[in-house]
Amino acid sequence: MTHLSVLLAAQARFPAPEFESYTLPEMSLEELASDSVLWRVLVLCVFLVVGSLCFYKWRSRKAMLAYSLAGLAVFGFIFASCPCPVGMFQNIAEGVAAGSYIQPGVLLLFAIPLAVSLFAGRVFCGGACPLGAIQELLHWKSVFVPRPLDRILRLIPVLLLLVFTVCAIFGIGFPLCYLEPYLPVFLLDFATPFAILSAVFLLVGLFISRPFCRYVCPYGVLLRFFSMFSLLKPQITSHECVNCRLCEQGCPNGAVLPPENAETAVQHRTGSRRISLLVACIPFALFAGGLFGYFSAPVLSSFHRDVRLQNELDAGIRSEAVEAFESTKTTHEELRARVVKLQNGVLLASTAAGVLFGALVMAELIAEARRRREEEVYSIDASLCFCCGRCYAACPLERKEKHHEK
Amino acid sequence: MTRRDLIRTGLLAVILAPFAALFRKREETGTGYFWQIDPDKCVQCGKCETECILPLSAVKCVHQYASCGYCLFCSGYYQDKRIEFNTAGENMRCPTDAIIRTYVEDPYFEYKIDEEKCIGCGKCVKGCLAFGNGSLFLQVRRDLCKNCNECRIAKACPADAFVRVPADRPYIYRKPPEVKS
Amino acid sequence: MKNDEMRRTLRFLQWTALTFILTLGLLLAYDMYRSRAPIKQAQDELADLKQQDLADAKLAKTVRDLDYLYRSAYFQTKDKQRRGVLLLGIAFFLLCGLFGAEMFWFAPKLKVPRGTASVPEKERRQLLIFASCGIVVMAVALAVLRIVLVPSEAKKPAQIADAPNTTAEQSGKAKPVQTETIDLLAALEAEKTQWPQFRGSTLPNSNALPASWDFQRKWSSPIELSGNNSPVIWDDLVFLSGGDGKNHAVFCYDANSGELKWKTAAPPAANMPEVTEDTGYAAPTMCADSKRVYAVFATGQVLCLAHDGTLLWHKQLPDPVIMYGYASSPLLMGDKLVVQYDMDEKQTIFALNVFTGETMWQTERESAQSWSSPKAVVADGKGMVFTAGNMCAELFDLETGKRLWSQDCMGGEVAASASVRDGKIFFSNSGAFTGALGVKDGEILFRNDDSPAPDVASAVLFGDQYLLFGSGGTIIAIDAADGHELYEEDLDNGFYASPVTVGGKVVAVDLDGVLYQFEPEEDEIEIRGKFELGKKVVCVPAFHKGNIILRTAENELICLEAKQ
Repeated sequence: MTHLSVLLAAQARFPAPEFESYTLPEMSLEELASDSVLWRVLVLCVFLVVGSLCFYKWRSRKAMLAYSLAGLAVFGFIFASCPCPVGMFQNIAEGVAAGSYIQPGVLLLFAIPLAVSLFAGRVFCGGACPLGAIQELLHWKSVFVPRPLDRILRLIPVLLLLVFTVCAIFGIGFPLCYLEPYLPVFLLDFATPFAILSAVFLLVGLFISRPFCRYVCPYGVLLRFFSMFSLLKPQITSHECVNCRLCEQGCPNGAVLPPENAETAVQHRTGSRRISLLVACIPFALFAGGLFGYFSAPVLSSFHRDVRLQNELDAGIRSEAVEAFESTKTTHEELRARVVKLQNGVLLASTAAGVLFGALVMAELIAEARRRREEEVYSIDASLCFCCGRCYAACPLERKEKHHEK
Repeated sequence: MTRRDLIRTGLLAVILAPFAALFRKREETGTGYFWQIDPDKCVQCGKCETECILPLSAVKCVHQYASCGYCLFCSGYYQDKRIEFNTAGENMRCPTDAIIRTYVEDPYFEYKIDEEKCIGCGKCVKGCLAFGNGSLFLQVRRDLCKNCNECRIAKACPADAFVRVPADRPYIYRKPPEVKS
Repeated sequence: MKNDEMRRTLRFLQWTALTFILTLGLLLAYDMYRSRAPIKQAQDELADLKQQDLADAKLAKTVRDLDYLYRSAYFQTKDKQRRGVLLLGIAFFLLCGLFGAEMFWFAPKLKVPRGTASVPEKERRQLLIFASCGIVVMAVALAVLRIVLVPSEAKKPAQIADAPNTTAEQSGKAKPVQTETIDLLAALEAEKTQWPQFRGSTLPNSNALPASWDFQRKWSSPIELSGNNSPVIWDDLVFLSGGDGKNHAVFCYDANSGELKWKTAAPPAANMPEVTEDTGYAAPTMCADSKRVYAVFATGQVLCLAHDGTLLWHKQLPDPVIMYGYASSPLLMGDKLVVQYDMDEKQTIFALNVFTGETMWQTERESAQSWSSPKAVVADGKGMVFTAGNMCAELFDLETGKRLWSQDCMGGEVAASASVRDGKIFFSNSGAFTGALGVKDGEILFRNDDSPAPDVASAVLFGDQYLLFGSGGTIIAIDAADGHELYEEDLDNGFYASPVTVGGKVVAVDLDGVLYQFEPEEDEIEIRGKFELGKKVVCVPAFHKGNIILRTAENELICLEAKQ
């Protein structure tokens, strides 16, 4: 029996009375005064412009710190962090997959930091992102992650991006919104098990700079890719570099690259050998990735509401969900058909995502094996730079210039 | 124009392309961004009270006066085993005394939800549905809801009653009963 | 100097803020942890109290006071937590500000690193090594994931057998098959002391009769779902099933105390057939063995549960379309559960593996729809199954399902089941057949078409008499040797529940709930005991340690013990 039939049956029972003097009160439900998402977008634009100025024009570490603190206050505590651009790719993926209308605010939140990164790199990460800001500020002593390990760990966000996109497309949920470790702090909701994750990340963040941004954030993957083509490039100093290596020490994010000589003949041979080896590995990597995706598909789909419901039905568990389901008109066949369709879809998508991940890993490895910069001075990898300005502060030439200006 | 510029323009176009969709005519059934409870799907499991990240849930009971029967013995107001129809605590269904009952005219009473006290447990909704017209139902209050991207209650809802609604239609009303002429 | 002082102040403030956050955080966490359970408990307690008799002024007062107390406690706790959490948020922001301030005024001291600059070439080699290690780690993780995942799926045997495989993954997976074997004769022997299926055990039951025929209620328990199946007993557990067309479940009661030990719901049925009230959704009596119990429902679902209530397997038989509703009780013979599945369209007999629910054999019968239960026949250590249905009586080999013989002697609506002794199968059902058949070849040894036969209760063999208990209240005895009527006895009310032979007496319960103990004499039936229960009964009584356990038509399970 559906609620509706109860309702209809009941309506006949108690017809609305006819009053003599009494008039029905209005239902007063507060309408939304304005779309808070659009407000966020507006403030975000202002922040990104100011951030770009601070970083590229004034080239000031202090300005960037103030920018972070402001970002933390506004986006973190006033706007309570959620929804933020970081999680928006899930909404976009879900909306695109379902062919439904995507809120302009959602689309803007997602697109603006990306568009800006094409011109000014990752200023968004620098402080307009509350997650970046809290990590930027709650950092005490830098412990450097060895560069090779850093490169491997940087593949994790790529994997997460693929997995979370699959999850969003098939309506399994928005896992990032759970695993985002600083959300309990911003939402002031410490009563969840995820608060433990917050504590872990905050603790790690005291020593390793920006653990979430570098090794978890899936949105960062997109920003990293887009900022490779950024119009403005951060430059440590406009003066002639004296190779004092202070900026390398100053950057805890591994974005300052040391100078490198032209390769020798031996190095060239080694490099070529490595590349041919890696190229030979590509089919295996694709296959292994596909296999990984194929095997993780049942795990992913088991988080879906319908699959869980089906499992409960099969196991004969009388859960609330089963009871709620039985009060609807949906038949068991419809549910099963839906579940089968979903499981097949997830299997396909997950396998494809696995293959893609395998390809991306190989691409990364080959790119790293091949790269031969012939730089004489320290330079910044724009795709890894979080625009914190530490290198400006570290560079003795810059400091001297600032001093002179005063 | 360098290759890099070309790529940049291309990527910019990719980012901007979806915005073209915004000019498309919006369908009536278009889903929105804001969480809301579909009262017809709700089973009053009580999770709205406990799962919300706010200390007191953003879900509150609302009263659709137009479909209320103004019953003398409201089954949303009085609990099933009550002995007397008075305002004594043991006869109440609401655990927080959030329903205000006022006399209108014989034999009708008006029931109003005191939203300061309502915790969104849905007990009165269940009671009303069981014997009455179903004029009480749960809704996510737009002024209280933080609008989390992933609503905790929605995730826990056994009946899949949480849906996304557009900003211009943020509440889902129950269809008022047809007035017999 | 001033700088140093400022730095010290900053450091101090940072530590203060940190300590504050940690202290407040821990206190809040403790408070939330501590207050959660009591609030819930208080709410439940209050809800319980509100369900009691509020006419009692004292209780009403208690509820009123508690209601106020809990209400204020609830809001106070929430308020306190909200303020605490807000404070924590502010402290967090302050801490961030203090950290920022330190970085703002005091740039970290950077040292020119000692040694040579990092060598990119070396790093590249390391990257490859790390990558290889990473792949190995991933592979191990994958393997672990598989190992963790596989048993968890194997533990979930409740797959609907005829449903399509839900994932591509499941299709390749064989169900774990237990290799335990069950010796048929030993199993039948073990059954004798129990009360494991419809009409007791296959071999003569060795349960004792109550010490006297004057009873008192030892216990009684309500049964949540109705059903016309009779209780079955294994050791101290009473099993029965019930269903209302929406929920179907198996219940287990403690035979000594009557306490409901567990109930296990059947998975939702694929189709819900139409049944009449006389039959219901749970007419087939369950079967039990030393480890498992088996239930069949009118929905065509077969369930196997462990004695602790875990669902071991579940099978959906083809669409159960039959007039009145499906009612044949299953027959348990060793490692096979025999289900006579006579539908309107098609009549099949299934033998299911008791461990897995797999169909071991199935044979189509030459019959029309019937409601009769199969009967075990054991001759020369070989198991056979006798079935009766409209048109034919048939005998099947238990191992292969091969039809051994078929005798075209039946007709009408067949509901009763047979009795077996000394190579003879006795059967009586009104409109069908009353007589005896030879086990060997199905030859009709005798038939009696004159005496009115029962139409619900199955007749019972006692000595050289075959006793027919009619639904009108007539008991007719016919000679087990040649089938001529010996005598007729009229009682007050009719019998739906089949009579059984226990402890050298015949026990039967009539529709009014009068529990009889009979002893047939040469030319009359002697009533040795008569006890009026006063409730309608359609189910066969079960025997347990000198007590009688009965299911009434009003969904009550009653245990009767002899008055001292």
